[in-house]
Amino acid sequence: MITKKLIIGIVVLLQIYTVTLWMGCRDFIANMHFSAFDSKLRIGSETANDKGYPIHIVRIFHNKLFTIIDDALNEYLGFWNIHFLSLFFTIVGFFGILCGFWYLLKNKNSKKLKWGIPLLLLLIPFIDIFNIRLPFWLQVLLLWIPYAAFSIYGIWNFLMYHLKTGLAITTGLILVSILYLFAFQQDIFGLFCYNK
Amino acid sequence: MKKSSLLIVLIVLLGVVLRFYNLDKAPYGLYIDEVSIGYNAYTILHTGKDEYGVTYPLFFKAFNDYKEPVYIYMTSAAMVLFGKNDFSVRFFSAFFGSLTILVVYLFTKLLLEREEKKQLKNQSQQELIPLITAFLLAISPWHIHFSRGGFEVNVALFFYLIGIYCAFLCWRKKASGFLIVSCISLIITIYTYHTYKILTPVTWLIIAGMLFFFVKKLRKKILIISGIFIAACIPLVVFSVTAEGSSRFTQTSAFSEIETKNPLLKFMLYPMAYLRNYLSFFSPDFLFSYGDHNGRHQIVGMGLLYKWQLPFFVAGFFWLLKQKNKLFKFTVLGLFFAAPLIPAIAVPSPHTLRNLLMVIPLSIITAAGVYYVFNLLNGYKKLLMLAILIIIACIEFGLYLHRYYAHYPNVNALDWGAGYKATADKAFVHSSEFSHIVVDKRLDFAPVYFHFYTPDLQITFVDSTWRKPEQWKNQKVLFIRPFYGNRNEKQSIDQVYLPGPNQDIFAQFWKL
Repeated sequence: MITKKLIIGIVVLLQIYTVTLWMGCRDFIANMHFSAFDSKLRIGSETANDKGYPIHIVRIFHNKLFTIIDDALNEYLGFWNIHFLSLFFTIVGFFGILCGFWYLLKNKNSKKLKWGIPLLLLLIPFIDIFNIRLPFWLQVLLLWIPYAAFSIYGIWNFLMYHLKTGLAITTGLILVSILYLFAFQQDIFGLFCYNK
Repeated sequence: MKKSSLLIVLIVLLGVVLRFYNLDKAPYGLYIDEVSIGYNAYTILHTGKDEYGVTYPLFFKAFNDYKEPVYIYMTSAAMVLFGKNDFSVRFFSAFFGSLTILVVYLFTKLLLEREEKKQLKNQSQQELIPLITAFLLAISPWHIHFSRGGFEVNVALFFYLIGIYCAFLCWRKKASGFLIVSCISLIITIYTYHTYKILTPVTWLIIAGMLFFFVKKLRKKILIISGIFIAACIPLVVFSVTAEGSSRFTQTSAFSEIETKNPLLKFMLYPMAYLRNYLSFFSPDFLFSYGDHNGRHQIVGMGLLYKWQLPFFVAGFFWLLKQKNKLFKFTVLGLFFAAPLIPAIAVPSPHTLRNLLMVIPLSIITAAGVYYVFNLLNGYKKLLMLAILIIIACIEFGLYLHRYYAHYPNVNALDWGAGYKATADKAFVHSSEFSHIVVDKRLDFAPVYFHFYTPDLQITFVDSTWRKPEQWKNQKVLFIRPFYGNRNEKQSIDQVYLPGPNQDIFAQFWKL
């Protein structure tokens, strides 16, 4: 039990350290925010290739509704970029999130819990995607806290169900997370956010 | 005819139409590697030598990338049937791409059939999941795209699947004949595409090891066939240790971008670089939004899979993890996680072309998800869900076809060398009026395009300092050169627009 708590403690500390790195950012890069203006430009550039096509075809495939949905989904999927997640929640944290989903859906929890929590978690990234006007640190925390907590839930369950192998795997993943952060820390500012 | 047999015939026919329709015109123009394959296939067919004069080579030097031989020799065969044209270069990719649909159906069916003896109630599962898998592969943007270009990887994927399928058949029927077919198919893959040089021997090791362990009566034959497999790999191994053979690896190695001489840092950073690359192949934005951003590998603005597949993929993955049929579960998961193992060694990562194998487990998992989700529903909910799914899937599929045929030829002409083909065609049209045709080498890929499209024209390739020689004073010369400014009306008789990665230019035809 003590080892389990120790491992969880290390994971929490590692995740806290990671999130403090992100506090050095001004904002996420533009690609991670939805922009209706960009969608409008996209429709313009796409319809430029439709010379000679019947207008109803052009309207079916390049209308505001489809383009906005498509763009918003693209931004949303960008949030699930694994390199981003590995630098935002650490590798072990990302593993914990996956475990969290697995144990939540697999275990005999109440339906509300089983579907409510994943739904809520899946909707949280829209805070960033729709660029709700909040200070950046608050945006980061709103994204980070629920997932970090959920990853702890996942790791806790993982250790509970597979105590011996679980300890070895989680310890290994903590080491990998540290090395990964060491190797790609600069990608936080190079790929995913603007420096302050 | 059984209902499922009729359905699979219809699905394969759909796949054939999607892969062969307007094959020579869309994408418009052969891209640089296709032209190289075509030109080498042509010279092999007519002279028995490659473009450098080597007789029936095992590896083709091409652009110093030393291409694998299988696809080039296949293209020679296609040229016997259809002549020297774009269709011939792409024929075998489209052909094997269409056949892959059938093989993936049989493969999935075989994996699920093992459960049949234990659970008869799963009969619908055993029929529906393979059919849905085949259908998803038939309409897959990822698979259609690579089937419609002269991509060797598509042929390698077909033979790799045949290899695994026959190995499983050997396991089930305890007949060594299947193992021989499996061995031959897998040997073909290593001489078809780079990725399989490593993936296939590892696969064989697993196949032979498992068969040796489980099929005791075939042990002797397994050893003999493994010996044949190893013998067939020897030329590849010998070539790989030479400077030429390892050139491709050094050109694309993921580790070359880490600039450190400290061995401890290397020891720490190399695995991390590999891990980052490996994980990138599973990123949803790679699979469902943008692909690898290379316009030659997908339609720009579309992912490798349809977005409607995402929830079904997640459901299918969850279902798969809970599966009791270990053969099905571990084979599909094994393929899913093994597919990027070799591509992750190289940059850029993720890479759609090198990772094409992943389309197979993705189709199977998504099909399982469709089956699982619809099994959870009943009554009007099922019908409503089906109606919504069909509408969304049709819109996305229609959008894909619209982008492929309406947008892609314009937006990605650069990726397919369309301008170079037009330049060669126009040079041929003008050739009768001139005594000499001279082409400026600054038109980077011009030589290979001219060799392929206009092999009968006598063309001199020159550098930018070239001036018309004195001895040609009274002769008409067609000089084709890149031009960066406005058209020079006095000298220029024609021009072709050439989009470039940094700057769009014109190939301008000057009358000297």
